[in-house]
Amino acid sequence: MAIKSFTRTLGIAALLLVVFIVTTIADPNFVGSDNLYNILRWSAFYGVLALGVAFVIITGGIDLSIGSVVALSGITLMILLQVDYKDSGTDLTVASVDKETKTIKLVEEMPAFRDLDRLAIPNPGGADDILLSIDAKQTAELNDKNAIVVRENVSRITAGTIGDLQTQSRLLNPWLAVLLTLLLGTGIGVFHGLLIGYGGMQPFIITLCGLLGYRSLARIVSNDEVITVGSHHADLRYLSSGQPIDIPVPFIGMIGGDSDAASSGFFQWVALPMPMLILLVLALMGGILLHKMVPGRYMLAMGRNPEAARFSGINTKRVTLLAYVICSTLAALGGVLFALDLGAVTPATDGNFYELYAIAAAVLGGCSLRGGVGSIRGVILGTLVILTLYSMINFMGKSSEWRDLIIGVVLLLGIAADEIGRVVINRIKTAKRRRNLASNP
Amino acid sequence: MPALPDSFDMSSMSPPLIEARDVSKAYPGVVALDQVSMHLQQGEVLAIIGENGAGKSTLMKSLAGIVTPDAGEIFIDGESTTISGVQDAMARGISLIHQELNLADNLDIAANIYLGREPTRLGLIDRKAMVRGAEQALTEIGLDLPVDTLVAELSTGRQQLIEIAKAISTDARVLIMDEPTASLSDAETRKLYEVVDKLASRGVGIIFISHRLAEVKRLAHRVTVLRDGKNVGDLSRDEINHDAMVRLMVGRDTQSFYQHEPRPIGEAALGVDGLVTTAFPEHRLSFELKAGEIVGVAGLVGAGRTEMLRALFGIDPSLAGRVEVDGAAFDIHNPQQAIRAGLALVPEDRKQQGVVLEMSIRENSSMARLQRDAKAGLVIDSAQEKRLAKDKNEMLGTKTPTLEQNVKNLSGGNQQKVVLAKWLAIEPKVLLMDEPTRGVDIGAKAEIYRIMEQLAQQGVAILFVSSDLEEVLGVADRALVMHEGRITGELSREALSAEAVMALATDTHQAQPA
Repeated sequence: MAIKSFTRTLGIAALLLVVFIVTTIADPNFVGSDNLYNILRWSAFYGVLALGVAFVIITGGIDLSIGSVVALSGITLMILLQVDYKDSGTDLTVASVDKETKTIKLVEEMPAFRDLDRLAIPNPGGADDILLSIDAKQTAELNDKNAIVVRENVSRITAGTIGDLQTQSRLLNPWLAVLLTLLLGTGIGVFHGLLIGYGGMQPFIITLCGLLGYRSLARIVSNDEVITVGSHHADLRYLSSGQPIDIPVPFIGMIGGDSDAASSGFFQWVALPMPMLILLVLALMGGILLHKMVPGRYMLAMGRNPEAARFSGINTKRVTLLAYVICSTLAALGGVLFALDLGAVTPATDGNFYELYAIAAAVLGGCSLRGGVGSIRGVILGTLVILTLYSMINFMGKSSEWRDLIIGVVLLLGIAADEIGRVVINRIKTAKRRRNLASNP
Repeated sequence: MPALPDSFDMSSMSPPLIEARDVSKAYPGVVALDQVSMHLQQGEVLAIIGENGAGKSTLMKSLAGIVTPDAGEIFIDGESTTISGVQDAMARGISLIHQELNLADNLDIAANIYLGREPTRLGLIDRKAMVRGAEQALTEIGLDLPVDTLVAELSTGRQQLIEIAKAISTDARVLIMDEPTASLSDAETRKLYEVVDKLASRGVGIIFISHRLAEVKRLAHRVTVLRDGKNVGDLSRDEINHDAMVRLMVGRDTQSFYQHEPRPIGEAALGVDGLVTTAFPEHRLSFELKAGEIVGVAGLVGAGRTEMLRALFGIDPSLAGRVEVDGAAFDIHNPQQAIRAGLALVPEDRKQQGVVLEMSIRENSSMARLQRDAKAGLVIDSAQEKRLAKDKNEMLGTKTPTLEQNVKNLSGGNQQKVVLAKWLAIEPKVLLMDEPTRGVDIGAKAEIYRIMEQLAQQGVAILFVSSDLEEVLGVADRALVMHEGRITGELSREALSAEAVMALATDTHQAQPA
């Protein structure tokens, strides 16, 4: 088993390499540091989902609800992160306006404020107030206690208007909001695990209900509207767009993919996206769980033969529960990352079909839907292949409608390769034996 | 005893129905058949016996067109020929009935008998012709069943007979059966014997593979013995006896096959009081097992023996009853609780329940103890896991080049040793075994008996269910006999005899209160 899984990993790594070489020949920019960074980043988002579903697949189950969990957790996070504004009661009078620099001079001295606090100014048209959010950084650079810089267009503001300073009150610590969102995922996983593991219900059906239900819930709680956090929570968004470290990548500097590359040496430094760092840490933990820890061994055993596992005294119900908890918690983490990436969630469409991409990546990486087979490195490589193909399709100038066709064909070939290979080899062997028998009767 | 032809005088007879001469077949790494010869006359019942891996199945598959031999000749009616495939074999009247039955259990008897060769009329299935033909086939083997019965509703034994009827309806002249009675009850087995006798008297040649020597003695006109892919001897009707067969199969004498030695018997290890299984809610089961004691549970298939073990081990729920190990009562809602209390179960279906076939010997051997040895109850102690697997499998004599070998690649006997290794790892106080030697070859059987003796010497209490009467008589210190969910009697070693067991198993004499 170990050997076969290793061959599979080699196969998919080779496929990845081929895609890279072919596309790079067509356009050297494919291996430019920007594109590599993007591939890594997007792979990480989907990789988190694929990693989760791999555990469920290994126990012989399936989870179709992942995309809807992504949407529901994304919406939940956005709602938890919403910022409330309160009138501070401090009236401020506009002295003059500079439309170019979006600077407003005030008559009064500006009281203490935070970035994104805003100035509400009555709208001459009579509707809602005009809201101007204050840019703390640029304001500080003015070094003028009577002036502020705002982000919005100030052309309609006239001198002499009296506005009101509105300050932010956050309902929740943003990190707590992330934690609660992940717990929502855990709760969903517990729900699935109880019904499937303890209730003996079919995973396909249970998670199909989830696929439908969580999507609807996401739309209900958001009134089916896009929810955004605007420019807030820049610190939190480090999770999805941070660049904690740079990693050296060989060869690509020599190919010259980067026109603006500082060096053309053997190694080119590429920023490792924060989500990829998160994924790698999770994958390491997942690998340890699966191959070095008791629950992982139990998952593999019950995936292969649930009855023998039960007869050996393994609590298969608990193992099933654990697999679904891991899957839905990681789906919620995926939801958090996707939501923070865009800073907004569209409840009706975000996460659509993501469960299928996650399953595709896991299967391409060597997980068998019959259960009991799979490796973490395979799942990560499988995700990389899919996202690299996406990127390739963009680079080849094909429009996005080609994407899923190509992914589908690659997956089909990957799965068929084992079977076809074996059938062909057997045919050749049989034919050879027939010839031998015919020549020496 | 069936009516037998007085003798098979070869010279006065027509050429054999089928004959194999010097047939060889090699697979990568193993020679399955090495110049094996055999022949079968009209109306003859030939038993092919040998240990697992002796080449019996490969020889049968060569005759039935499933396997093409690398060398050697096959003759049908005295003419050299090649059989190109299963269809070709069937067209020439050779039918093979596999150990695993090939019936579509969602279809009825008639549809199964005509599966793949349905009679048609105007392009539609001619149901009337099918029913007529199926009824005739059933009559021929003396089975009185409506042909529109769903196969799923039939017992395994009946299904086996349907397979035979199916072969008969294709005008089979040679019927090959691979362990036909392996999963049949006694009544079903007797029925099958009748059918075999009847077909033979009508001139059908029958070849069967069996591990049950009593069955061979009862049925066969002649025995061909294989060992390691070679012919090692033929026994004619009057030469067929247990010792002769065993000697040829294992190549040595087996006077020490059952080594029953007196052992010190300790305190009560397992106490069962009023256990009620869901299968037989009307009966309460009560008995006691002492440390160091080997107790056999005899009875017919369906007597509720497996159900009792499953309830004891927490696989199936029990409705009532108190179970004690070493005097301490425990709840049995799941196997984990039973294991904690000191029980272990070697299950009936080894491949499905005993082992995970695609996992290694190491992984299977550590399965029950993994958590107990884990660091902080979570991280696998791989050094300890290897040591444990090595110790136990060496002690049990599991034959394998490496512990990383998948259990799938082991013989039945060695798979059973891996199951035992798994349970010995947790040092059980009470070992429950369900048909411990089913489907294992005779050499491994002897080893399993030796292991049972050794464990008992160490004070383990063993309760084993067996349908092999000889095994119960040879191994058990004491036997419980069950009939229709009830313990109908208990026999001490002195009182143990085939007649006494059968009387209790069929409940034909005054039952002693258990």
